[in-house]
Amino acid sequence: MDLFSFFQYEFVWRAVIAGSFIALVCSILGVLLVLRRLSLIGDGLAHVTFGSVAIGLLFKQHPVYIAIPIVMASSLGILKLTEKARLYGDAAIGIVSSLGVAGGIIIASVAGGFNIDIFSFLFGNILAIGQAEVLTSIALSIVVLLIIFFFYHEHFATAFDEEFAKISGIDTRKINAILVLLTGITVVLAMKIVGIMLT
Amino acid sequence: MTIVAVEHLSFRYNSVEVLSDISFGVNVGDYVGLVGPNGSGKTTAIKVVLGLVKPAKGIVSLFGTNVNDFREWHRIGYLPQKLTHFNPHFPATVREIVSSGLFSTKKFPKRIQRSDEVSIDDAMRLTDVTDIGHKLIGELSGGQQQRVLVARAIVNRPDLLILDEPTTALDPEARGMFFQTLMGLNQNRNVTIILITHDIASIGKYASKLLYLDKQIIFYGSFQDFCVSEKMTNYFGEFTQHLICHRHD
Repeated sequence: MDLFSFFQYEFVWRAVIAGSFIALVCSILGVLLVLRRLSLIGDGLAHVTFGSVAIGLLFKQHPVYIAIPIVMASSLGILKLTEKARLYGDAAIGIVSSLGVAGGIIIASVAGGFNIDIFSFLFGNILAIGQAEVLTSIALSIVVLLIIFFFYHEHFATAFDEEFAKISGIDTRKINAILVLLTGITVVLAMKIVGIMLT
Repeated sequence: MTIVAVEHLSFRYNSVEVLSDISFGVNVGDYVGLVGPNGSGKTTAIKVVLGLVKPAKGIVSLFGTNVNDFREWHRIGYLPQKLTHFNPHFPATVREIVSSGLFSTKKFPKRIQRSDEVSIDDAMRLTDVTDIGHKLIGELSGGQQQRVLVARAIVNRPDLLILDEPTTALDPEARGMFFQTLMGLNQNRNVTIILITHDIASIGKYASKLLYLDKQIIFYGSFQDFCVSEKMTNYFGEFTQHLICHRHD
């Protein structure tokens, strides 16, 4: 059995396609986040995803549908903390991620366990993803690529010198919000593929 | 015509009063040296003028429009005192940084056109950074970086140029050339300039007006008036005032 014979299985194709598109999105967003010194935001939001999954399982809802709004709100919360509470990004990420994990553990303990192993979300399973997740990862990649293409110079200016970007008439709050929201959505959608630990 | 109007402006950082009821105007073609000791509120005053921070009290107008409603940012060039989160490994060349000064002239989606190359070349030539245009910004010395940021501030050919301590990292020769360049912009292109500096004597040689700030306006007028001002004699003492006023003779 050679390497290429793996591709006779549909689940392998799904894994390769979805994995490639998620990798593409993560690499594009990753560069911007590193330049903005928000490199740990993905990790922080992944911790929040853990808490959101627990909430989803508690209310017997699909975890992704619960996680997306919570993680998006948390990403905006990190931004607000850096702007209003004058915290550096790392401190704000630390606060939000601690809340996410602690919340998840408390909910899992209070619920007395779930039928699904919540800890399976920690590591994901790229071979177990379905058609819908493949299509979602492709759609997300296209959305991210288009947004970065059209707002590339705004992101560039904001990453280099936010104060000057404001004087250039760039709405830096909108640009920051776009970046963290895209990151939040990517983290949630990557959860099942690469797992919360690696996101 | 007044293009910067500041009326009864006050500003506090937490409980510390930084600016106390200041009012001044800058007219078209003025070259204003904004001077004062450390912590006197110079940078804060500029940030309030540009709408970067909100004042506790007072009104600021740019080109006749309240700064909160002002949208003609392409008319303004700005050099900040320092880059707040400057990343020395930022992967951008000098030319890319200079061209980012044109974003204020662009509508969505912001794209640098071939026709913009003339303005970029012009700004880089004026600030003597043409030869290092291909280098990464993090590879440059402090003085070279400062010249690049000046090029970025003037590339959009602004009507109003605001510079916050632009000469701190420059050697004496580069500083002299820089002041000459600004003088040329002011006289030949009628660019209005507000320049923050600690070097009163040097700026007095070039600026048409001096604004001395120490939480409130201590003096606003010409350098000649500054040198004979009794108020400034009382503020500095006769000897210091003489040193300031005659150092460049």
